[in-house]
Amino acid sequence: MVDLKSLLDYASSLGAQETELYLEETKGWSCRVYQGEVENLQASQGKGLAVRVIAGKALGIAYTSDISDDGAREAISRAIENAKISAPDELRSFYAPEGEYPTLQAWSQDIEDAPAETKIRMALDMEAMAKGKDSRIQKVLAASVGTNSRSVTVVNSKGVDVSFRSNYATISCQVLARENGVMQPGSGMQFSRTFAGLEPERVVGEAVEKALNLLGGKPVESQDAAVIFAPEVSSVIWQMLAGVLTGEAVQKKRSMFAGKIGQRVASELVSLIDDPFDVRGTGASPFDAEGVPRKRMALIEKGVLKTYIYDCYSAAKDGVKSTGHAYRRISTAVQAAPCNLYLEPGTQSLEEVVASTKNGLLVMDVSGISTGGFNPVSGDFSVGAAGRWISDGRFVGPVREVTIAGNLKDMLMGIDAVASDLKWLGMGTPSFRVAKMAISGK
Amino acid sequence: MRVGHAQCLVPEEVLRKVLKAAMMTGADFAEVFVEDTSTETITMEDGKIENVNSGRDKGAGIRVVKGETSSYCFTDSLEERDLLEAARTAAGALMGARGDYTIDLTRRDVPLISPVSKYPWETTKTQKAEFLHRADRAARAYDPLISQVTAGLLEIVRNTTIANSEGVLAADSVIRSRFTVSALATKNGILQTGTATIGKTMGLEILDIKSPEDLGREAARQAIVNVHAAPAPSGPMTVVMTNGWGGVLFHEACGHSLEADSILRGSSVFAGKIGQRVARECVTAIDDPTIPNEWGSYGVDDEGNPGQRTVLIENGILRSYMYDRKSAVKDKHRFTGNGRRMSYRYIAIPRMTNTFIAPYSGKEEDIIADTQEGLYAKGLRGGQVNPATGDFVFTVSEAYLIRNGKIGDPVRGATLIGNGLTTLGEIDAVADNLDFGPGNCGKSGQSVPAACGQPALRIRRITVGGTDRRSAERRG
Repeated sequence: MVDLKSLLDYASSLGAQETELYLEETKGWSCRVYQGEVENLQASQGKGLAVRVIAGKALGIAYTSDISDDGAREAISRAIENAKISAPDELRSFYAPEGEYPTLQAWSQDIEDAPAETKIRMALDMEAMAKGKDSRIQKVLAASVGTNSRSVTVVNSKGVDVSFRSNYATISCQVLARENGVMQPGSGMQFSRTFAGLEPERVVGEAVEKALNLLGGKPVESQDAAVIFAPEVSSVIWQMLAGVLTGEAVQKKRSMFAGKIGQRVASELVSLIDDPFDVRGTGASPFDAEGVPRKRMALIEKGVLKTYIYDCYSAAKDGVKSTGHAYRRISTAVQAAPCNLYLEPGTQSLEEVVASTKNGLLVMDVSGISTGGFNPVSGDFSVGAAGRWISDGRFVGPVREVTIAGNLKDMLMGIDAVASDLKWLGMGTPSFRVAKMAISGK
Repeated sequence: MRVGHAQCLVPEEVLRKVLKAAMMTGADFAEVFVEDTSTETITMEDGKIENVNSGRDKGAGIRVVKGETSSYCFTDSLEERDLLEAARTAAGALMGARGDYTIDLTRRDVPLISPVSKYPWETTKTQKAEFLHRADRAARAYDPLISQVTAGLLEIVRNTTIANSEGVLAADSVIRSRFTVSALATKNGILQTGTATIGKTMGLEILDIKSPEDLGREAARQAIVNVHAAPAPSGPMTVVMTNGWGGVLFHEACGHSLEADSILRGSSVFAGKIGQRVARECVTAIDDPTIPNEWGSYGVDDEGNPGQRTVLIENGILRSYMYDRKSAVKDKHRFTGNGRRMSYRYIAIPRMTNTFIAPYSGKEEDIIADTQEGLYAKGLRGGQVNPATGDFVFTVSEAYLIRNGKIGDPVRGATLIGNGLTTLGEIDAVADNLDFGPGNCGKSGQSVPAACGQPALRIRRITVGGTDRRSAERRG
C-alpha cells in the first residue's frame, strides 16, 4: 500500500506546484440466481489511484489500478508530462481546507456481516416469490442480491487529507410476463444502507406489477396529453436537468439555463434540493472529489433557479467558491455533478394525481435519453416511452412504442402536480405530472 | 494468415498454477483473463487543451464454472500470490469435492487482424494536440455561426492474455484510435450541435483516412444544417437512411436480440426462429470482428476464441445467433468468438463486434428517387432497445424531408421509434454502398467498442417522433 504523503513529495520533486491524489477502494459481492440455481457469484476488491497535478499553471491527470509504489510514481510522472501539453490557466488551483468537515454515518456493519448463504437464500426466495405471483409471469430473468463498500481518500499538497467509507446493499428482480405470444419485462430494485432494511417482497411485487401493467401495450394516436412520470423514470428527467445546472455548462454555453439565476425556470411546485447528508441516496458523502466539504442546498426553490453547481476550477472562473460538487470516476476528469438530489414531494398521492387526470399517460419506462435524446443547449428532448393510458382519471390500458417530445424549459414550467410518493432510486423522486406534452404514436 | 506476436502478460507456469488453484473445488471449467490496457485521452474545448489523461488498467479476472454456476473474482495485481488468492476466492465460492488437475496449455496462434502503421508512442503529445487545434480551426472557419468546438483524441492499447482449463492459451494486442469533433452553432437563441467521428482499430493513420480538417468541417456542416432546420414532423413515415453509422438501427433493434444470452433466457423475439424468414430478400446481416482495422475488430475474443464472421440473417432468413462460451455450451453450438468484456473487472458476455447489413444492389440515389414522400436520415446518434419486446428508440442527428423523390428541407429533433422485428420486415430496399461508424455499445453495465455499418436502405414505414404537431395533424 502506498504512502500518499510521500507521493505528494515525489510529485513536487518532479516539478508539480500542486498535487492531488484520489484513492478509491471498493469491495463488492453479488449473486444472481436463475431457475433455482446460483448463476453467477462475484467477489471483488478494486483499487484505483487518480493523480492530478498543476505544473506550469496547467493541469495534468493520470490514473492507475496499480497502486504499488512503482505504479503510483509512474502515474505521477505521466500526469506531470500531461500538464506540459495542457493550456496554462492562472485559475487552476486545488482546494485549501478551511473550517470543519461535516460528519456522516453511511456505514452499517450488518451489510458486512451478512453471510453469503443468507444473501443467496434471499435471491432464491425472490425468484420463487416472483414465479408464484401470477400465471402470466412466464419467467424470472434474474434475481440478484449485492453488497458493496467503498472508501475514498483525498489528499492534496495544500493540506486536504480526508477519508470516508460507506456501504450499501442492493436487491433487484427482473421478470418476464407473457400473454397471447406477447412478452413484457418488468423490474424492481432497492438500494439500502442496512441489510435489515432490504424488502425483497416489495421489490418482487413492483417488478411483477410493472410487467403486468405494461403487458400487451399498444401505441396510441399521436396527440397532446398530460404526462405523469413515475418515480422510476422521473430521475431520468432530473439527470438531464442536473447536467445543465453546472457552472461549467453555463460557461461553455452548453446550458439552456445561462443567465437564469434568480428567475422562474419551473412551476412553483418544483423545489429541487441537493442534500449530501441524506443517506437514502447513493451519493451521500461529507466531501467531494476535490476534498471540498459538502452542504445541503436548494438548486431550484419553488420554481426559482437559486444556484449553479461548481467544482474548484469552474467556480474560480465565475469568481465564486466551489459548492462542493466535484465529481469523478477514477478514469475521468473532474467536473461538477449533483451529489444527492431529490425533488421535494407534494401532498397528493399518486392515485389522486391519476384520478384528476382527464386524458394522459403514466410513464413507467423511458429509453433513449442517454443516447442522444436530449439536447442540453436547446432543451429539446425526445424519449421512447411505455406506460398506462389514463382516461377520465382511470387507467384504460397499457401503452408502448410511443415517444414523448418537448422542451425541458416548457416541461418544467408545465408541471402541475407533484405527488407524495418520494422514492430513492439513485436520487429521490416522487411522481410528477406535466399538463401537456407531445406524444407520438401511430 | 498473419500471426500476431503479442506477449503473454503472465508466465505460462503461473497461469497453470492459477488454473489449478481455481479448479480445486471440483469445477468443470476455469479461466484466467489478464489485461494490461493503457488509455490516453486529449480533449480540447474553447480552442484550449483542457484535459490530458493517461490511464493504466492492469489486472486479472478469474472465472470458475461448475454446472450452472459461475463464480468470478478479479484482482488489480498480476503478482503470483494475488492471482492465486483470487483463484482460491473464486473456487471457494463453489462447494465441491477437492480435485487434483493437471493443466496443459497450448499457445494458440492469434491472427493479426489489424496491423498498425503509426503507433501511438511514435507521435508526441504536442503533435497530437495540434491535430485537435487543426480540427477546431477548420470548424470555426466553416461558418461564423459556429460558437463552440470541442475535439478529442482517444488512444487505447489493450494487451490481453487468456488461459483456461481446457488448455487454451492466447495473447492478443489491439490498438484503437478515435478522433471526435463536435461543433455548436448558435442563431437567434437556437443552439444545435453537429458531430463527426472516425474510429478504427489502428494507430494515428486514422487521420490519413479523414483529416482533422475534414472532421472539423463535417461537424460544423451538421450543426449549421440543424440550426437552420425546422422541427421534425411526427407520425409514421417512410425513412431512407444513408450508409454508415445508420447501421446502429440494426444493432439496436435486432442485434441485441440476436445475442445468445437473451435467446437462451427466452427473452428475445428471435428465439426459436432459426431457419425462418424474418426480413425480405434484400436483407443480409453479418457480425464480423475479422474485418481488417475496423473499430470492433480483434484476433481472439475475451475468452480466447478466434473472432469469426457470423452470418446472422441471410437474404431474409435467420441463420445464427452470437455466442459467448457459456451460451454456446448451453445451446450445444460452436463458439462464434463473441465473448467480450469491458475489462478484467467484468465477466465476458455475448457481444456484437462489427455488425452490419450487407450490400445488396442499386444506388442510394435510386432509392431516394423511388421514394415519393418520407424522411432522409443522414446522421444518427445512438439508440436503446428493450430486448424482450424489441422496442427501440433512437435519435436522428441530421434529417431532411423527401418530397417527390427529391431531398428537400432539413428538419431537426427527430427520433425513430419502433419494434425490431416489425421494422426489419419493413426494410424494402438496400443499396450497394456499405460503410461503418464507431460506437460504444453498453450492455449489463459494460461498454465495449462496436462498429455499426450498412449501405443506404429504406424502411417503408416507421414512427418518427418529432415536435411539430401541426404537420402531423395536416397529414391527417
